[in-house]
Amino acid sequence: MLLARACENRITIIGTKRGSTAMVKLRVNGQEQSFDGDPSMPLLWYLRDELGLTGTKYGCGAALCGACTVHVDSEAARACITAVSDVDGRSVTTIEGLDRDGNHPVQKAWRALNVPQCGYCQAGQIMQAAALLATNKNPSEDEINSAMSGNICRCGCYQRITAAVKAAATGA
Amino acid sequence: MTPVHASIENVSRRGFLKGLIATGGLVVAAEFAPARGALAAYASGAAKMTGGVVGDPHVFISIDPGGLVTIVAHRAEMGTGSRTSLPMAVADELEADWSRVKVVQSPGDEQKYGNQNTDGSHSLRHFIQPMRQCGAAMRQMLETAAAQRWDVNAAEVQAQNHEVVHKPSGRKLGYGELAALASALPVPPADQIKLKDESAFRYLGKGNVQIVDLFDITTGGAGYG
Repeated sequence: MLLARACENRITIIGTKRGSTAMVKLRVNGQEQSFDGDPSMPLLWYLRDELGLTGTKYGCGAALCGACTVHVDSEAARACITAVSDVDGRSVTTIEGLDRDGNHPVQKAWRALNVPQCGYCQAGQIMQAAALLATNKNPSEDEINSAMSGNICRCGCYQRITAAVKAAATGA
Repeated sequence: MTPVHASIENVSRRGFLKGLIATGGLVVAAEFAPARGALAAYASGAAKMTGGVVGDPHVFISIDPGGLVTIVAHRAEMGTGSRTSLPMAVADELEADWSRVKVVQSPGDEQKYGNQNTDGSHSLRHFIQPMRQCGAAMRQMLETAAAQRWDVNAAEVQAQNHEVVHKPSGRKLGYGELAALASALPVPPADQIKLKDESAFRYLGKGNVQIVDLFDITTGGAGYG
């Protein structure tokens, strides 16, 4: 229930336009793209299989784990349940495009505090954290935990994740 | 003395805790620090598993003429850091400079690399010692190669941070310069491999090495599957 509420609060689920056959035009990591395949295809497969951006991970396929988190117009969105048609005309950012040199404050904090273990969920964690800090420059611990609660980590890096979001916010 | 680690392999976490309470910790703690002779006789739990243990340093270590040391990680990374710490054990015994080490992942091939069934927190328990032995064997081969090159007694040379030093004269040869000769030498038998004293570790237990995939994980470049 808690998770469901958190997801409801934090994830942008954009209305679908299934059945459309028009060319989808979107921007991915700053580059214009167009796609004339099945518009109901999940954005996750478009990013991974069509564009080769494999940093965004498949976890559950049902927006329950957060591994596939990307930004759609700077808001965190789960790419596994977002259709390509949902992002027509919009701007998508993946982990590869968060910062050209991989030095976004969240990425730097993640490395400074040795957050990742296996790392599989971490692109999603980083994108979720970056979206939080874009709208809340100095979140409280409760706000961090609430914003991050839909991103699951099997290795259990949660304490370091919270600490790294704080560090990224404060520049510590 | 029976290799003490072999018995630890079969101790469940619950049994271990009970033992710790029963003995006040002292005896069990002593069992974790056996005499150095016992370390050499360490029996890996992987010996009885498919593929067993492969002790040939050529399988896990290669050194190019520029001195880049490539170490094979043959276990899957499951989040415990073993893809970093097993090569780090090799590098420490090898006296390699970690900043000049590249870690590559092996394919699945138990005939070549030994057991690869990555589960149950076995990777370090089963392979830290074989990996240390591989690193130490290659270090001794580099020392022998340097002694041959200089035509001096092997006791006068010492591997030190990616080069071999001739102690009486201070002459040095980098690992890259010695690689071809060293890798052509016979691998020392297990009973002639001299592990470092733990006080001489550069990396093991020091907390000064980050996981090798850290940058790639935070930028979406890490490989899985």
